[in-house]
Amino acid sequence: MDYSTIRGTINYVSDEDSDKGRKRGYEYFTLTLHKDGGRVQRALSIIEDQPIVVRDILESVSKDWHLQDCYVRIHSKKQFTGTGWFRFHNNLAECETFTTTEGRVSQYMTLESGPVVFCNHSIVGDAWMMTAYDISQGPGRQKVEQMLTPTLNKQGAEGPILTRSALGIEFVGKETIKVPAGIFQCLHFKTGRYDRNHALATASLNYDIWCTADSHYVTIMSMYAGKRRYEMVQWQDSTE
Amino acid sequence: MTERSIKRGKLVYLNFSNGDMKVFGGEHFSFTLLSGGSLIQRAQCHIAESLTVERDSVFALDNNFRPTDAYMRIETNGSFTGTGLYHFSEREATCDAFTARDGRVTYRQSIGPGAFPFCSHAIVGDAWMIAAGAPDKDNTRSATTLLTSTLNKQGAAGPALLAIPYGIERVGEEIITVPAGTFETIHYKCGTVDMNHQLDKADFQYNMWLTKDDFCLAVKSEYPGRNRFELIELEDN
Repeated sequence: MDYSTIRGTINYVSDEDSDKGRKRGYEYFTLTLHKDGGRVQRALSIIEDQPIVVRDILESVSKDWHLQDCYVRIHSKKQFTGTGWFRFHNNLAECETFTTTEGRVSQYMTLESGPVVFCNHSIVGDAWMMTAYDISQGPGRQKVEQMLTPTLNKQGAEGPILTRSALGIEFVGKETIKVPAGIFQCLHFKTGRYDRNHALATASLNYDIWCTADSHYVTIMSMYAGKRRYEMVQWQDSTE
Repeated sequence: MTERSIKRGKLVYLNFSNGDMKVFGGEHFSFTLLSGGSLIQRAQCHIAESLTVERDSVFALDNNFRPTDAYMRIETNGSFTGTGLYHFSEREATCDAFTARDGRVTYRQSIGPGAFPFCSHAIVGDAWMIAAGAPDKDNTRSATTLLTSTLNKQGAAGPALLAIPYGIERVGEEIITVPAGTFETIHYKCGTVDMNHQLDKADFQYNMWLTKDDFCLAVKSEYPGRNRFELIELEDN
């Protein structure tokens, strides 16, 4: 076979004191590692809480984690919201999209040199953004000036429209994490959008991600502490 | 109807050409039936023959079984082949694609109202293609225009947008048993047709059995004596 596969399910649960542990959604994902080193991510994310979101993602990256293309389809508030195709090449990002808000839109965005990440809003996609952190530098904070995303809406419930922001990433260190799917050696990151006009050192990076401490960067757990938690409940790995 | 109903499953691809049975690929799929009656399917297909094919597709229908949008990504022999987005408006089908062979291409095709068949080349996609273009009565045939991402039988090229004349025959209801279970199905036959010849004389070699429900799920399909595709796992949420 020309690729190996990791499949799994991530549950979305509440971390609020009033209903801690309540399941509020889930994500089925399939990651494939291809013979040429490229990777493809497929994620079906269902948020059961309002506005009720059904989101499909299919993203691919090259062997050095450079963005290749991404498909996004969003259904929210019980109706079709939009579908879009993103393509990244050289110093250009392209988006062909159709949304119920904007209609048919074509977008082009010139990219600067330096790391570019894509926030597709799947939980497995969140860990792929952490590959932009240069782990050889050890714990600390680094910034990614070009975080592209199909929407700035936290639940990924709008768009897709090509949008740009900046991302701060803090590498906390290596930790062992226990979730319903098992025990995993992880890299612990804290991350969040930040205002480029302010210092990264004081930015509030309030989203914690624990991803596998191997070459695959698979999200094992993530959370906005006290609000929402996402944890791996099923895991099937053919890469070993 | 609940807000969402999800089915996930797996099909196996079997070859019988040399007298014995050989697995030559498979397909993981999921369906979402939304409360308004619209449907989304995702398929991850793998073919391992002389040419290996990895094909991902996402395909959506409205509550009248008319395609609304689709996406496709194809790798062959471990190399990127192409990726593209389809949008079906009231009057026009468009495909924005980037392929290793043709570069960045946009295709446009006029379409009329109502349901029409679109071939994504997934087996679960074939089922929706047939359901969208089939006649209602048993033992009858209909001719239609099929939109497809490629004429390559393995779906190993493109994605592009092509329109071809196509014929579908509804054979009738049958109960079919496959490794995933026993299903009430509707049996269809289909194939390309030459518009210069009579539809009733066209040789339809592709047989397909679809569940008799809102999902129109592919339970089995086959080119008799050559290839068979059958449901081996089904999980119903």
